[in-house]
Amino acid sequence: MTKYGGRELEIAFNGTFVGQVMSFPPFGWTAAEIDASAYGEEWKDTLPGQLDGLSGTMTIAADVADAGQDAIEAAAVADASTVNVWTVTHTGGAGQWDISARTLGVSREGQLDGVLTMRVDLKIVEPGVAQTSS
Amino acid sequence: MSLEEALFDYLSSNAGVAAIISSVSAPDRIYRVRLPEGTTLPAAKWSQISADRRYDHNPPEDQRPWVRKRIQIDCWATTVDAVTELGEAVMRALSGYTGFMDGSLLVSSIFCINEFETYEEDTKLYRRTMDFMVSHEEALEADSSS
Repeated sequence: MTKYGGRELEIAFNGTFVGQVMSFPPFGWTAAEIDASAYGEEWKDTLPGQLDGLSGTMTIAADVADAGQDAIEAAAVADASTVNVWTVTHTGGAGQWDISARTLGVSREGQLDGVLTMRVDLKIVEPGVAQTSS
Repeated sequence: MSLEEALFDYLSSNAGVAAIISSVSAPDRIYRVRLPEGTTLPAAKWSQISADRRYDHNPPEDQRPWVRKRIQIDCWATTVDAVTELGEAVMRALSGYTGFMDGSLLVSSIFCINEFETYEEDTKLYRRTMDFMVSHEEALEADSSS
């Protein structure tokens, strides 16, 4: 059995490396359930329904010189309906994934004694998360 | 430039602080961690109480964590008026500071988060203690060992 560190992530936005990522949301999907129970059965019966991508927020320490951060904001401003591809690579060998997601929002926050952060709200959409290497 | 070097240079060159703790015979009476025995008073010492670092997913060679350091400054004098004067000068120099300390270290903020005063019976000295939270970006130096 092997464990992998969560710190060893490299994140790219449409092929451009994004620097100073402080947190990346869980990426994956959930499946809806369709009730297929028959009257009188002791147990409920379900069928898998539609898949739904996860939503979450990534936090980045803002850097005006970072090309990846610029690309994120530019794409969201240009067309919020565009589906972008986030590539998450675990540099320790746990794998690489392509994540199709729409950017729902970009904001900035500056705590009085903290670092200026850029927050990006993501919604994973079809075709979802594809593992490209393991 | 480390915070330790920048803080010493900044305080010892601050006009208000230097007027109290610097003289021809005993310049720059700001010490780190320990006040030397027989130090001319008023004097001050500072020490790091804690440090909290926020990292990111950048690789180690590009890592510049955001640091929040708690620095405690103790001012010492033989009279309550003198220790109050030194403490207030240090407070004016540091409280709310933002900028390039000593010209090269970007300090985002310095906030005073605690202060108190006391009299020590064994040394017969008045002491005014202030805790400051200092926020800045830190460049981790590469390991120079081969």
